[in-house]
Amino acid sequence: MEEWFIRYLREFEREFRRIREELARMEEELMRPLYDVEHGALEPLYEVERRGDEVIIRVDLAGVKSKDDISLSVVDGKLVLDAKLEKPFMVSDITLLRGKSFTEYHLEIELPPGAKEDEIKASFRGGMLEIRIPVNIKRVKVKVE
Amino acid sequence: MEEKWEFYLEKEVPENAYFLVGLPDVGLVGPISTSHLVKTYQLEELGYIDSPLLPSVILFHKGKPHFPIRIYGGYRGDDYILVLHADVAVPPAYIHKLAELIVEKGLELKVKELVLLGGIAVPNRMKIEKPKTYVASISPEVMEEAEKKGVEPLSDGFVGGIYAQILKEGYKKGLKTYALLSECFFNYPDPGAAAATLKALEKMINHEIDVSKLLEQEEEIRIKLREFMKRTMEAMRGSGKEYEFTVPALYA
Repeated sequence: MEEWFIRYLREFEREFRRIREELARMEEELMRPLYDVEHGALEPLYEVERRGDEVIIRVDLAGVKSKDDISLSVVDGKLVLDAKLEKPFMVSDITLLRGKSFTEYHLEIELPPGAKEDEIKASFRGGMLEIRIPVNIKRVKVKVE
Repeated sequence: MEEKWEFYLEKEVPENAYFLVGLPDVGLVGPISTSHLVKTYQLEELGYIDSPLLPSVILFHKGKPHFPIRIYGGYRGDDYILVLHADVAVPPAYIHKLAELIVEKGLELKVKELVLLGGIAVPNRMKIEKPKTYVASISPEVMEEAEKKGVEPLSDGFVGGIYAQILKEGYKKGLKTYALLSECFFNYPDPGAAAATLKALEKMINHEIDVSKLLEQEEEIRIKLREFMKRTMEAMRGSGKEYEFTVPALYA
């Protein structure tokens, strides 16, 4: 078989595997509950917005009272958030979770490529945490003819 | 799969009821509002809407099974309040059929008006203390009437999702239909916006609605409904909701 064709097949196989893994990850993400019973932690809802040279992450930390109860750090290219709830949250409406107590939020998010880790800023207001991550963007000027 | 929809009521509903609808959408404003109304007005469970096209779910509460889309009713003074409350999001492909069913049933029951309780997502919600509520209707008379009662008409922009379809169906079939939409978060449960929607409803139907408990429990509701919000956001993809931040070509 021609060498170029074998290379092409391998590349195709790699891409196919990557898509399959990505789909499996998305499915797992969807099916995964937002409760970590073992560690008594809740996963907060969050959204990511790209605005110019910044990536903004907004996290709903309902039940957290003060910024002093929030710990935010960068660990191996991941943003790691832990936040203590003012009082333990008990789920009384779901039999399987009855009696379980949740005392904190925990979230890990991959930083975007080019993130300037030392310049990340965060603010907390009304139970909402806003994290601003400046990112390096490669700019190339294109001449319009 | 067969598109079979069932609207079952085990009791008769008097004519001229206010038919209030709370379907999952941005900020879950609809279901938070109807859930609060059912509790505050102590409404009785009367029936359900079901279809094989809906997620296969049954809810259990205090040992009793419930359909995920339920109908409640009861008197408030001389007025009968009929409430449709949903605990599952409606997949976009079935929005049209459900909208048709709700309007047809409203006409059959000879309801006075069909009121859609919900939210309209705004990007700066974090900075808004008191969300504004807008009324949206295809009928100019309804918009005028609401304005006279102190609810601001939605003058520009898109309304998307199932409420848009119900507004269209209601208009085409001659049923007085309007939506009360409060500024809300897009993908976080928003009890504050639900309280604003209920206060606007109070002006429209002239019955007091106490929202103090809803506001007191705001944080707890936000924590509890995270999972429901996540499922709703997934189900809403392609429902038309994405148009709400779009400038219509008409104004360009």
